[in-house]
Amino acid sequence: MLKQTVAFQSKYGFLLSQLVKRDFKTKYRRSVLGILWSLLNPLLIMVVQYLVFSTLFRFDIPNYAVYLLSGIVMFNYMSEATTQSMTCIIQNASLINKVNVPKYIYPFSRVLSTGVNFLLSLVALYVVIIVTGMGITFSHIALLYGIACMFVFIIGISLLLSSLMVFFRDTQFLYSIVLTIWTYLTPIFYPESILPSYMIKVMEFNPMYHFIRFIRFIILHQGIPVPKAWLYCALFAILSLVIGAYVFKRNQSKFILNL
Amino acid sequence: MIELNNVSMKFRMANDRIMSLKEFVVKKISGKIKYKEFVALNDVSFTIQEGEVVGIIGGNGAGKSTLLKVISGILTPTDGNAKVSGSIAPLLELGAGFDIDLTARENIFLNGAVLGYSKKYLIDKYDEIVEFSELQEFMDIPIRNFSSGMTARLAFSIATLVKPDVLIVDEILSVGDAKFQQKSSKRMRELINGGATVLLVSHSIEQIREICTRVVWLERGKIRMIGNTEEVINSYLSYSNVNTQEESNPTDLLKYTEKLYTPTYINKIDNQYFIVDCWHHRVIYNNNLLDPIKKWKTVNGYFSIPHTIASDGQAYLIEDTKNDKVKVLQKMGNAFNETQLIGDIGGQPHKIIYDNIYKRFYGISASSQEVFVLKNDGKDIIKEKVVRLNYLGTAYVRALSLIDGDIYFVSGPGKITVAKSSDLSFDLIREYKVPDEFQGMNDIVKIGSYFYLSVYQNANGDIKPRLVRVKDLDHLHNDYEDIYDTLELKGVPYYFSFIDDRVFITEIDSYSTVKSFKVVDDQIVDLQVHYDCGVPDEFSKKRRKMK
Repeated sequence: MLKQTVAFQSKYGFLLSQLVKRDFKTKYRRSVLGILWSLLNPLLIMVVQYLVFSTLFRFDIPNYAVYLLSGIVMFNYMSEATTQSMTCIIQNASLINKVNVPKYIYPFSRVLSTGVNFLLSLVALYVVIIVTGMGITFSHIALLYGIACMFVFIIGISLLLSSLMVFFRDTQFLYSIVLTIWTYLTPIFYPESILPSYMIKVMEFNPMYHFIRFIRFIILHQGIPVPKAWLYCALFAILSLVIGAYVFKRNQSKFILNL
Repeated sequence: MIELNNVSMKFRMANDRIMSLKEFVVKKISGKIKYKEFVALNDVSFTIQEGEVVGIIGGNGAGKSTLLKVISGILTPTDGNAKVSGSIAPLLELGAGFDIDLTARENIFLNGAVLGYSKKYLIDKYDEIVEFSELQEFMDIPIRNFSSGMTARLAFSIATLVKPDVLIVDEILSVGDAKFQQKSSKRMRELINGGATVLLVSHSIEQIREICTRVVWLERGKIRMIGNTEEVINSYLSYSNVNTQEESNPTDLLKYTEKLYTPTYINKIDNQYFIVDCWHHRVIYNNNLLDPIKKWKTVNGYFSIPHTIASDGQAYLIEDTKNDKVKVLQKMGNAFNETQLIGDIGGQPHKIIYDNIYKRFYGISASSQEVFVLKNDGKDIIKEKVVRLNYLGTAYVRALSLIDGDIYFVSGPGKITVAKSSDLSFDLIREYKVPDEFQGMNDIVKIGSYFYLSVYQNANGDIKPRLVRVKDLDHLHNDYEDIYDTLELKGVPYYFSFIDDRVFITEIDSYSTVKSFKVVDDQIVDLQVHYDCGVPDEFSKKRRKMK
């Protein structure tokens, strides 16, 4: 495994870094603020939602700004990365037709390039954490675990979606609806407490619910989540990766015939 | 090395490509999905050795590109397998992965990464790429602002930087403006001759002919023919030409390769025998004189009525007589490939000889009476002198011969002309009148104390072959010895050559042979017939007419 990783890194690491660089560069090329948007975007969404939900709906959540922003940052990464990865095989058709490199490199590079965005919005999150006067403790190290699990989860979903997309172009429209539903099914801007009990049960099957809850617990309660929460995160990450990788691997040789 | 074992590639084509889930479900349930099977490759097997340059020809849709994709690993064959050892550099299309929003500099790295170069290699070669593309001032401009020619130049400069084990080329040999095209085709040649195994798909038969050592002819996904470049191309061309009228059998068309038709010249260079098979438009070689002609290998390239081959041990010069050119070839691996084409040397270059003392080549252009002097400067063959010899009149001068340090020209207008060659002045030294029956001479040599003359026509232009010898050229009228029958000739004796301790004579036109004999104390002894191909058959005659 390690040997393979090293071999891959030496052979395709450069290509991967170039693909990530390209995605990132072209995203903000010709915009005035450029990379700053990665910081501003989640902040602005947070401000709008903060105003709407804290004044209009009067959710009574302590540190609502951080609560909101942590959810937005996590969920945005997932939705952006998967949406971007979904079309990557199709968009790179000309390359796939010509150069023989492992095809998973394309969704992987998309997840990484949106990951750079994610890291920048994490900076925005920390700015808000500090501004609102919340402390940063050693327990924040556990965030890495939550983020890593979500990262693996996203890769799995990306592999699945990008292969589905090759065969059924409807996937992208379907998925945008799924994403909307998913947003509402995840407690991003509302508190868990308003959910009826049966919805809490349903929530158990929502991976994003677990990831967001995991990191919120660390940030807002400044403690370490219970072992069950760790387990849930790992479970969903691995499940998603296994399914995604299986579907991708099974079908990748047929991609070229459908591009 | 590339090894293909029974490779088949089938595509399942739904009558309409199903692009949506709904459509799929509806059609699947109603059983309306009909697939048409399309076989792009059908049981293709062959092996390519390291260093071979192999061309792939065939009409549109024959499966050429599919084959390349299978070899480069982009497509997985439905059946069989393709094994490739070594690194592959696909040159399938220029600019794969270019992003128009990125600058030229950024694209060099992106495209380089796509092509599999390492970061270090790209940094090292960056200047070379920029310099070759001649786009120095534009490196920081997004390539959206580039013209298509500039983009192609950039792409070409990156793509041809490879030093792969296997190089795959699909129809791109030159890009950009006229100047850059020259530069790029030179780079392609260097790449191809660089020792890599090369697979070239091209619709330009000329390119294939020039570059490839072997050719695979694909048709409708099957190998129609595989083998020597000349043979495959010739059958391919004649097949394409007659295709509309009749289904011709390519093996029939190849029958000529088993024989000689008007072998004008035989030579031994570097332990390799060469026969110039003039009216078959080819030059063949082999390391012994015992193998049947069909076992001989063919020099790459098409020669329109070649006559002789000369070499200084490094460069091999062969006339492309009908095209008024001399082709220079060099030995690469096991094959002879064209490296240079020399023109402007007069009409119908007919014979080239190598002067061992002055290390230069002399050639004669038969129909313009020009003599040309060529020299090897270590890298290229350069023209040292081209001069028309007025004393040759308007005669069709078939040969020049170095005898005792002077050059003998035959036929001058009714005479044999001797000129000074050592100082390249070609000043006339003396002339010998020849009787009418010897007017159309082919060649002259001196063996022992005799001059030997081969003759094609008499003064009226009638074909009257003769082979005579004479001690003093002034006595050609009365004191010659006819040795036509001694050598058991039936056709026209042509050029002489000296190989080891024997004298070789070729016999052409109505009867084709290669013979040799020894001369001991001016006695002709030990006559041997190496190849007796007799009168030409229909296949040979067909080949002669082929352009």
